[in-house]
Amino acid sequence: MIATQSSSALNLNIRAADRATEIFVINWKLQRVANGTGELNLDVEPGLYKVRFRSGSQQHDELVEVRDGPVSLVGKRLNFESAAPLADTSTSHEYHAGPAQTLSRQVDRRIGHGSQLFVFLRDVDRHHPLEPDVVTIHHLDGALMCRITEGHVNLGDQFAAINLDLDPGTYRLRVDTEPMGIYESFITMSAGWQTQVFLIMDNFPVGSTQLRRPSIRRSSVHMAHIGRGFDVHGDSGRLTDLARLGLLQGRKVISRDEMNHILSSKFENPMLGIYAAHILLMSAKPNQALIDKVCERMAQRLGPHPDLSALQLRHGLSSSTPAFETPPMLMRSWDMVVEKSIRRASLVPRDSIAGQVADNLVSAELWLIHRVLAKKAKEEPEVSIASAQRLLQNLLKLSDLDKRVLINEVTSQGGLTGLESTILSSSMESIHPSGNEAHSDERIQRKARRLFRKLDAPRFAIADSIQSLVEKLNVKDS
Amino acid sequence: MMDFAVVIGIQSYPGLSDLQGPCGDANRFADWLKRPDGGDVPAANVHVLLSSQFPAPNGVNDAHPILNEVANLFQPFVDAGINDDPLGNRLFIFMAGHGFSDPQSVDESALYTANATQVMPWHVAATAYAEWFRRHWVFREIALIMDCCRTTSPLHKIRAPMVAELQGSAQANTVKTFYAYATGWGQASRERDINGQSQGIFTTALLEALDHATPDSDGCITGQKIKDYIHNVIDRVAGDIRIEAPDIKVDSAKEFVFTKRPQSLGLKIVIELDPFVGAEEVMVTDGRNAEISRFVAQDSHTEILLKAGLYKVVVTGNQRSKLIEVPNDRHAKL
Repeated sequence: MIATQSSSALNLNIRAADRATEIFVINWKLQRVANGTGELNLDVEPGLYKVRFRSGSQQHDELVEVRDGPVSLVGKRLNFESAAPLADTSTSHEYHAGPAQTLSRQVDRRIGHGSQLFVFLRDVDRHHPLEPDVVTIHHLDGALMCRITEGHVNLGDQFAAINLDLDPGTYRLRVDTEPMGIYESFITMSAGWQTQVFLIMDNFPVGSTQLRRPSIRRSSVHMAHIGRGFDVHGDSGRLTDLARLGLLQGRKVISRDEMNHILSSKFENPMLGIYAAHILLMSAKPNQALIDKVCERMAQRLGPHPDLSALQLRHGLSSSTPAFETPPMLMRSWDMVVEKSIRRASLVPRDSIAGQVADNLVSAELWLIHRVLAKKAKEEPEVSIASAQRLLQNLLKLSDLDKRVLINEVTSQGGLTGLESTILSSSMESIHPSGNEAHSDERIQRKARRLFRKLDAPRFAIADSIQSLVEKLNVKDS
Repeated sequence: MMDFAVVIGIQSYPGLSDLQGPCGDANRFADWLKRPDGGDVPAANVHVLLSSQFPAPNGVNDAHPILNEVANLFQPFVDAGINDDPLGNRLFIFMAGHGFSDPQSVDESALYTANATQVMPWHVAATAYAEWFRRHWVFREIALIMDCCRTTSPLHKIRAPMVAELQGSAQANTVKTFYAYATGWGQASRERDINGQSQGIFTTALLEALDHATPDSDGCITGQKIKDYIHNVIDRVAGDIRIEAPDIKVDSAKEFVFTKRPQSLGLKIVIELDPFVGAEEVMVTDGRNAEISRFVAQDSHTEILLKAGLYKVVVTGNQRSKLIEVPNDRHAKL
């Protein structure tokens, strides 16, 4: 066996095709020796290395020999998945990319003025007929504004699109996934900007069958100056989508250097700034100054935006912190609001839209997704937080067995909202497993307070849900 | 001190959706545990609980296993912790089925029990159990392996096990742990058809790692070796299915040792010369450019044995060469 020994390290420079592509370097023992994002420059001992590029869920490995001198390696573009028909993505087709580009530059309806909403629905599987009429756009109060089918529908090429002139503000994008229910996300429009929402059809298992419906969860959201339209080939769109996927997967695909680079550029797609701020926050020690700079630049460009307001909350509450009345687009933003609402219940006012949707959020994935349920007009007076905690104590006094019997009854009568379900399941950690032992009032009070504090929803939403839950279960005051 | 294992596989979920692979995955892992050249856990100490051990349920109310049935398997270990009676050397916890993560804690995961529904998300707080055993020093080494989704829902929170919380042991920080999740926080794990059987992609990669990872100089198959191996092969195991990277937590200062074995001779790798012009000399060097094999090919196909790693194969006469990765490249054509 003859070994060539070398003590002099050699330079290995690796550049990914996309700046938000992760790079991993693995040595001959198959151990990771370095990682980075976009570009990696390191000195290594001569030998064989595996370089892994990762974009979204797509990976590509290349083996490289570092032997006689510096080595430079440029990765190829990886075809990650996107609901947006971006070039070089695995789900892109010319027959979607072209129309998305064209239709995003022409206005179908003028409902307001100052901003635009472009919605593009498509199916990449031609074996299923497209049913676009399930996608509707609503005012923030829930009133129907229009259907996507009022724009352009091409069933042959499996897409539907609409571009609306709207006043800046937040709107609801709703998908009726009959029989799975009606779901909506919240889309904020900013003055001078077009918000582009791309929806793609997906399979949903229902019992033993698969239903094909538009997936809000997989939607891709971009922004562009009004008139610019959707940029199929631009780097900005890919970078924004990779940041979205990074945020979804909890991967830090935007480095501080990259963020500084983005800040010094034109910021063509402000969604990138919102994603990037959240990605930077995933660090063990986030660079708060940099995040502040991002938020400041974003606020200058977009004006009021609930996701930016949520990011501001990380600095804490002050007497001038405004109430949070409009739901943000991202679940991570919502989590920040809920966390602060524990300290100040009025942060999310009971009668605000944010307060009203809080009881039926269905996903902790990237987007804040609300399941729409027909709500009965409230007959009971509004309950205070203290009264709600007393009602919760009554619920806690029931045995798990009693609760299960009640659940079966309620389920047959239309069921519970998400938050009601959470409260109920949380309350089923029996205080005394035997169920016969007398419960100490003091202990139940303590448990009720603790449970109330632990629930992740605005305080008034929790109070209302406790009230509606005990009504549905017909729990008597004791 | 003895080794123990709790192996759970749930694939029948009337209130969610059925899966195909978990019971098979659990059985395959249990088989590895019991093998003398595998986990070498006494068969009597390998407690396997599968949904397939129960009659097919008609609905949520007769679906099994439920939380209490799983908790019963942990109870002797909990008792040992409460009685300050360190019970065993190693504990393996393997769970396959539907799972989820806590929206507020990236480090915790749970397995839905068979009677779970969206409204009543009954579950086993797997990470919390493992951590309880660590804090109370019930075992010297703990391996937690979860081949299940780690998606999150704001409506589903992980509830800590109903066990007493005592003062933790001062020895807790000496416990060696290996916590392996099939996927990252918030992500879904996947199963696929492999050799005509539905199998968890992560479990398949794990079992391959346990059998084929190269031991260290002491012959130990450590947690780090398993982690490296899985990350390097899982894309191949996944085939056409796109998966998220597993999340495997090892502590390099306190290595969990899965098994010990002598250095293997390696895996069979086929070197194919195309075109084959006869009697060409082939040299194989390892990742440090050390020559490990040189032979004159007598046929277009030659089999050699190589351990997991990176190699360069060169036809010395004409400098045709190829870099290969073992075990992913079992066939090198040059």
